[in-house]
Amino acid sequence: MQPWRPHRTATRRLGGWEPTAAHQRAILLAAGGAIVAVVGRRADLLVIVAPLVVAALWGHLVRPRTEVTATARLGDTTLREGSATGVYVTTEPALHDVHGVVTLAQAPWVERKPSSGIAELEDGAATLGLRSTRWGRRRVGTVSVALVSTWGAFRAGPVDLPDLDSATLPVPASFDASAPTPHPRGIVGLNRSNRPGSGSEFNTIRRFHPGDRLRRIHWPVSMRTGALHVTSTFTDEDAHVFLLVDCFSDVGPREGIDGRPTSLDVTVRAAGAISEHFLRSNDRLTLRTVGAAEVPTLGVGSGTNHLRRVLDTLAAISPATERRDTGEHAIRGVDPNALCLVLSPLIDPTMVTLAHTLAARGMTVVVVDTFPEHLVADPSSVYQALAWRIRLLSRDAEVHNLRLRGVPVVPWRGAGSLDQVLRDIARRASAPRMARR
Amino acid sequence: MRAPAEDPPGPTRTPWVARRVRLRRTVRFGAGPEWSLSQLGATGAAMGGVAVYLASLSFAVGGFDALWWALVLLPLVTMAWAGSAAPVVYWTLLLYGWFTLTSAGSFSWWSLPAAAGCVVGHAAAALSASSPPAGSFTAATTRRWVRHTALAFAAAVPVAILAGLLAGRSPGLVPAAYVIGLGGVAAGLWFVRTSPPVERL
Repeated sequence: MQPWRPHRTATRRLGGWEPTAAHQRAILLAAGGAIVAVVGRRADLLVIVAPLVVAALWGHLVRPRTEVTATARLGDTTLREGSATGVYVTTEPALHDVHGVVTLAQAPWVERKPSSGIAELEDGAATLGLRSTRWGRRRVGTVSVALVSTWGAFRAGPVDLPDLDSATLPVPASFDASAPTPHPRGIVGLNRSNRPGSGSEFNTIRRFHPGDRLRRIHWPVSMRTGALHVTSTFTDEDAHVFLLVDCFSDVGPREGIDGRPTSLDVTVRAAGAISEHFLRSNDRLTLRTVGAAEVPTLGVGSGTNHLRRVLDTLAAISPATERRDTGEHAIRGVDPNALCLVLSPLIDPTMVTLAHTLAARGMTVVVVDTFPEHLVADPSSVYQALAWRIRLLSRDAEVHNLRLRGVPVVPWRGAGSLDQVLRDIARRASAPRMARR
Repeated sequence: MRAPAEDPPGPTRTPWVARRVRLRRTVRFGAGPEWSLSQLGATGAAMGGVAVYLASLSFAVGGFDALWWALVLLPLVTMAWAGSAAPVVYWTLLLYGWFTLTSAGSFSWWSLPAAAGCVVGHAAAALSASSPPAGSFTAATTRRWVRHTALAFAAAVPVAILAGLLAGRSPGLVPAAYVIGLGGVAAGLWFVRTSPPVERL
């Protein structure tokens, strides 16, 4: 798949200078008035049209003769939801006494500043502000430029410049988890393992062995016992988190960052928040999407750079663009020790099936329910409420089946949403279990 | 532990945009487009130009039917078509009114304020047509147009003085005036011709 490269700069020639209606008016009124004044012996009419003669000649004499090129440049091609950037428009050469107007067309989820999207060129430059109100990759509105010469006599444009693109990254919801990530296995994370080794979590105080670091020597115990003792720690490990994002459903009105979220808004922002939390803890993370076409495949990674890649991938989601997706490709080759977090509003049955499949493989699966409550809270439409009630009853049955299989389903509530379930999973891992002999 | 790389852009990078983008008020009449106060000001100037012209005509001819004062509203009615042929139509009507209401061979000094009204009306319509309805004009642009309009109006003063001097003279100069006037018009038209001519597709 071709990597997405946003267009940050757009340049186009404005074409030739054409006479305007104002110039033609000045010529017609001046010529016609002068002829009528002379023929009809109306000297005062000649006085009246004299300024128009000057306007017509002036506008004609000082008309620009050079072709002008307009360039639009986007301040930032990558934004966060709710953040603003600018579109800088310049014309080359910057002509004196030329009145220029820049227009930025309206585009979905792009707020223009000023709201009319119109700015006047001053010394050949103008700045328009824009604010992105929803995550995703999109074109900002078309920029068009028009120049008018002295007396509005000649006009170049308006010419639409090639479209500029921007990617708006989702603003992660607030999320934090104090519970440890299950199945840590790596060597660089912040999760405590059961193996003694180099780390920060205290294990015990033991006798000094060759190879122990001198700064680990516990001097009080060593002095008391007469033999060198060192502080022993548990190793720190990183876990692998597998995020499966449901892109089938985008239920609810799309109101952007300032309004109520859709189900996909909640899903994407939750995925961003969870990714941010685990990646800042140096855990490894894999993100896969189901139901969205042309989303780049993201490998396993950790750290802040990987967080950036995750947010870029989330911004590339177009809801329900691949309805035939069964999700089999998404869950192929998943680390069996990974913590599988399925983020879904559980509207589409494919995601429920995938959660069952992952659980059947013996993996640790948690379904994060991202269904927004406000969708069913509006009592304005009785029939809509009834339809939702029927759908939610069916959904409750699916959730119940998942729970029967041992897959916890937790509603997304922001910070601490996963604490209880992760603790339960950790406890379950250390509990005695039946084994086949 | 690895050092954190550069964070993704945060949601708070807005102040410079707020500083550099000038916010302007707009007005909307019903379901129509947004109009900037600058555009409304230009329309007001065009109406003022017509009003001054009609007032000058009224003083020059000793009054006319009050119904003709309704022509003041023409720039307002045609506000959305400032860049079309509408202004030339109503200015033709206004000039025709001057031609019909005044007598041949007469001269009135009221033609001087009428010229001011005419050039102000023309400039206001041209300025209005140079920007979309919601577009605004900076103070520098407004000052430039005012300066140009004043300079163009200044050309009416010597013409008026010349016309005032020649007004009571013998008609022996009439053929010469015809030749000079028509020659001037022809020279003017030759001067403002499109060079090279615009190709018609």
